[in-house]
Amino acid sequence: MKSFSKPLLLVLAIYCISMNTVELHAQNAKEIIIKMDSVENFTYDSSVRKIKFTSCRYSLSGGRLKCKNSPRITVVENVHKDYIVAPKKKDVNSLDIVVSPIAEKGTNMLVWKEADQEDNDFWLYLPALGKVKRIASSNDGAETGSVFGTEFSIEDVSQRKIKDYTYKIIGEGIFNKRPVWKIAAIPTAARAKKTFYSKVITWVDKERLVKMKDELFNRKGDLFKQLITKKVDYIDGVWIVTESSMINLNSRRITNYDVLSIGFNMEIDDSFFTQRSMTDFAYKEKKMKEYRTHLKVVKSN
Amino acid sequence: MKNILNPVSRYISSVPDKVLKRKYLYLTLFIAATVFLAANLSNLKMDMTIEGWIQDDDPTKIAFNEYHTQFGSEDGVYIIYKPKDGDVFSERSLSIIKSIQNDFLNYRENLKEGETSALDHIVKVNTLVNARVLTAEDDFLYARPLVGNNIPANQEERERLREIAKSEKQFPLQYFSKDMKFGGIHIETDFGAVPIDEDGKVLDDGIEIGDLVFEDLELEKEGSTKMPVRFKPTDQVDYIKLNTALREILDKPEYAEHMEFYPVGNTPAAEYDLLMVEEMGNLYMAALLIMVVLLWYFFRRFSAVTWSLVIVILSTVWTLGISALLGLTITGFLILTILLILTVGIADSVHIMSGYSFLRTKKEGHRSSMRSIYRSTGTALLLTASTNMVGIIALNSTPVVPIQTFAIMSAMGIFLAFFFTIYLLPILMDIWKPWRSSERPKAKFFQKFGNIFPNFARIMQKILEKTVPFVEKRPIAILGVFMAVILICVIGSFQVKVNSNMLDQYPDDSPFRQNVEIADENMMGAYSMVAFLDLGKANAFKDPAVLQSMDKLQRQFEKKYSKYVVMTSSIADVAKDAYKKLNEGKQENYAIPDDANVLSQTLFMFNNANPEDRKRLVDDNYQKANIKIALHNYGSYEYSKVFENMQKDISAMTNSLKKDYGKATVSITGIFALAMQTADYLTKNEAKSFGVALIAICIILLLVFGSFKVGAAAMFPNLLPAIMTFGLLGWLNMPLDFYTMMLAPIIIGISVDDTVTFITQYRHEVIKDGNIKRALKDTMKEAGQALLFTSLILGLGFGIMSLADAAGTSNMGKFGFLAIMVGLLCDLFFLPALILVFKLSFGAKQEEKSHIKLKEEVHEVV
Repeated sequence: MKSFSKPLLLVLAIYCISMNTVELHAQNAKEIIIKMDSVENFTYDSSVRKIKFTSCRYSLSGGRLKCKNSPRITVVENVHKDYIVAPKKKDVNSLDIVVSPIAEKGTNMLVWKEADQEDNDFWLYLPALGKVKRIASSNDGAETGSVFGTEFSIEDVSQRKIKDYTYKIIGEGIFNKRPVWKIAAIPTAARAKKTFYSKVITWVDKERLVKMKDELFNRKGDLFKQLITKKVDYIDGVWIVTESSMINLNSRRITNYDVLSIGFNMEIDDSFFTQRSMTDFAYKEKKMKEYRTHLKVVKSN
Repeated sequence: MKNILNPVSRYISSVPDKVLKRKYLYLTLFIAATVFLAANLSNLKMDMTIEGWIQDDDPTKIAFNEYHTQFGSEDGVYIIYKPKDGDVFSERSLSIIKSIQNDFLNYRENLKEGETSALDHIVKVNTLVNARVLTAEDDFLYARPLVGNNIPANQEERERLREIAKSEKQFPLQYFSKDMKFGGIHIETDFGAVPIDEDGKVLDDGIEIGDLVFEDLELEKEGSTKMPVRFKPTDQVDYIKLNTALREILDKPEYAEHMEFYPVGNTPAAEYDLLMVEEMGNLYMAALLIMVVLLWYFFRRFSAVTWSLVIVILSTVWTLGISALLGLTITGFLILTILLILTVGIADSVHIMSGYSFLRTKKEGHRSSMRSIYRSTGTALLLTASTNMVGIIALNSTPVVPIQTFAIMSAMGIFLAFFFTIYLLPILMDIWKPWRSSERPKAKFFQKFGNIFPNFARIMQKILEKTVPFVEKRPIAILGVFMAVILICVIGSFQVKVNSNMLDQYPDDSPFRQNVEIADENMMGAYSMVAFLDLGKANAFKDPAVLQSMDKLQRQFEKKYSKYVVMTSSIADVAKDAYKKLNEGKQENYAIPDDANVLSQTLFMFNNANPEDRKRLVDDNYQKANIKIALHNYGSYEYSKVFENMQKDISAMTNSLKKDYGKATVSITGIFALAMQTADYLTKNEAKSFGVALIAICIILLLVFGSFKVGAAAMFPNLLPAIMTFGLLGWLNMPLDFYTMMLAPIIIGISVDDTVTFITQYRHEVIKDGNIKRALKDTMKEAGQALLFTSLILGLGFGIMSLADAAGTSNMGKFGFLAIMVGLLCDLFFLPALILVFKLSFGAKQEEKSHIKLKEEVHEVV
């Protein structure tokens, strides 16, 4: 009996530990994501930045990604402001203004994201037509519209709500010389109907709690896109991704996202996020001049 | 010339004795080589795709690949459906389409982790339910699916959707018929757009950041890539698997009860192609069976049947085995190569065995009969093999890859059939003789069985005996009749149209044909092609002048080629629609804006709203774009002209833009255009090559026989079967298509085989004493029998294919039979008449011989 009970106890002990570990992992996974969300979304409440998107079809040779055609470059100025409505819950307003290419200069987009609302309110101003159009985009699980024609879709740049996913740590390791957790996020049944992705695997930097990589799987379960963080900077007490790449494996296109300059936590008028800023060039420029003073150069264009 | 043929004859006649000395050694060598080559068969590469027809460096193929690189596949499935309630906008119809769409896209839910499905090939499904519409309401601009997740239960709401759908320029005919009784589901696939590496392996998409360097995205230098992008050609199996998976869904009772489905495109066609291949396979087997039965019937010896088949089978296995070693890629033409080997192999072995049994009947010994027949017929076989090979190689002058492979393999097959007939057949005939003395008692069963059928060899000899006297009496009249036929056929052949219709391979009552007709009559047609434009400059398609020209061109296509073109679509249509929606939906704004910034921002808006559709129409830099052209089904004859004219119209358009876009290039591409262009090119080119082959053969005959008169005489009987086929096609107003053209090498093979055998045998006889009439009679007796045997065996074998349901195969059977029979008539009547009228004696002077030839003596006995 003695000889039999020992291994049995051992097995039971291992089982209990492993169950606990599973539980711990599940718990940890969500906690890690919450922490990452805090770093990404709750360490500053307003920002102004100048961003460059470089997009092209790529080819892979000798471990290097190269553009097959002249890259399409879009430079955008972005101003954003958060409105905390509850702990870890916020409404966000933002205005994006196209700086170049020349043909699209002055085109701007106003976005109001409300914490409890599924779809964002989205206005587009086309200066050549002199029109503001409110755009409603519902996709029923299809891929959402693109951000300035880049490989970033609206869904990619929208904050993933933690309640909409279940999380699991599926591995740990080193990524780009940084220790990382590998966490799989599966959408809940309700979210699955809305999202284009069936699974997202995120590499989270253990020390800085920033996202190092996202693998986005389409509804077929195929790896569809990869978002890769290339550079993270510590600016004014904020860990911020200043260089990243979105690679669309399906269309073999890539968009590099480079923050050219950035500034945090400045005063921004609520009235800036209205249609007036979109259409009234003088008003917008006056305000922007003020906000631009907070910009710190990250990368020369 | 005698000097060339004589030593060859001597060598060939010595082969049987030589090989029989070490017959078991040679046999072992043959068996060992056969086993080695058979083991190699698994290395054969197969490519049954349309893309495989064209070389990788052909400009059409480069444009085709370039298009796929930029815009993905256009080889989709178009499922036309007909709801039983007669309305595609009824609640039930819309719900079913939504469910089907869901089944096509969300099949993964029923699969296990890591399990693959044929439905993985689906890239996108477009239906009335999810077709995206840009709608303007006040200052709201909605980019949303027409119906979406919730099917409206009330009629009023559905009527509103119907009106929106009708007002969308690109929706009618694409998603519903004019009377709303038919609807359409478009399935986009990845067929033909899966990139592969140099070894043909599918490129792995997984990019490992650890190995990757991309500090700055630099532009690849022009010409720095060694190879243009290549894509995995789509195999029939891929189509069939996807078709089965789609069928499983469509056949669900809840869908099938309310709707009838008519799928078109390469995917559903594969199902019917398979049926046609099965039918063809069955008919080939029937043809082979007929040949076996006739072989037995004529020879009354199973050894004759067995050895003929052994020659055919070995030639086939060796041809395939060597092809595998050479790394040749097998295509759909393989079946034709096999058919040719069958024809030549049977003809070769029948010529030898028929002559052998003829001589044995005349009491010649086993070895001396072999020597004798190899001397006369063996030389003829060498000549026929060489001329046939030259004829086939002449077909190789085309840049169409499968034809090149076909030519190499067929030439190899012809040579191998000859090789086995000369070196292996004597051993086989020595082991099991294809002749039995009538004095030796037969096994009772076979005797009784054999007695049921009259002995055809004797009947034939009687007919052949009468042939020469018949010709002798009226050679001029016979020549006159044949020349008149030639003349009539030549006139007819000028009226032949080269035309291949994709539907001709299916029987008239084939469901696929009906599906295509329904698509043609009610919807946007089953076929489409693409004009691929590269203006050589970024942002070209944001230039109002460019889009306006493009729009003009599309309208011109729709008007000028209204018989063929159902509708066209491009970025120009999108720009017009988006501009209209941005301007309160007013119809007068359905135009390309004149201001470049306005156009640019209109496109910017569309790109933000619907990037996927934008990517399908124009590339990121707005440098390359495409115009999709939906087409009705017509043959390649009409389309080759239409394509030519369209190309001119496109060139005119690009020329008008030349000032700003000097590097502009345009090509018409897409799988349908590729197939049509190839079919047209193939048939036209093959017709030309056919002529070259005939001329080359005539020159060879002229050189070998050393006499212009003989060369010319041999030319006419060689030409007639071909001219007759062309002439009949012309007079019967039947097109020379892909299938009738497939006959060309067979016709060459058979007519050359018969004529050369006859002339060689005749030469052999006439140089003995210069007596033309006697030589003709003896030739007719000996070679005539072999000619009749081979013509009947092959003619009836081919003839069975005329029973095929598919018009293509059936025509091949009918015309194949006709060509073979005409060839036989030529050799029995036309050639003797030519010999008599032009006194062709190969320079031999008539001598008075006191002794009577052995053959004549034996002939009397018979």
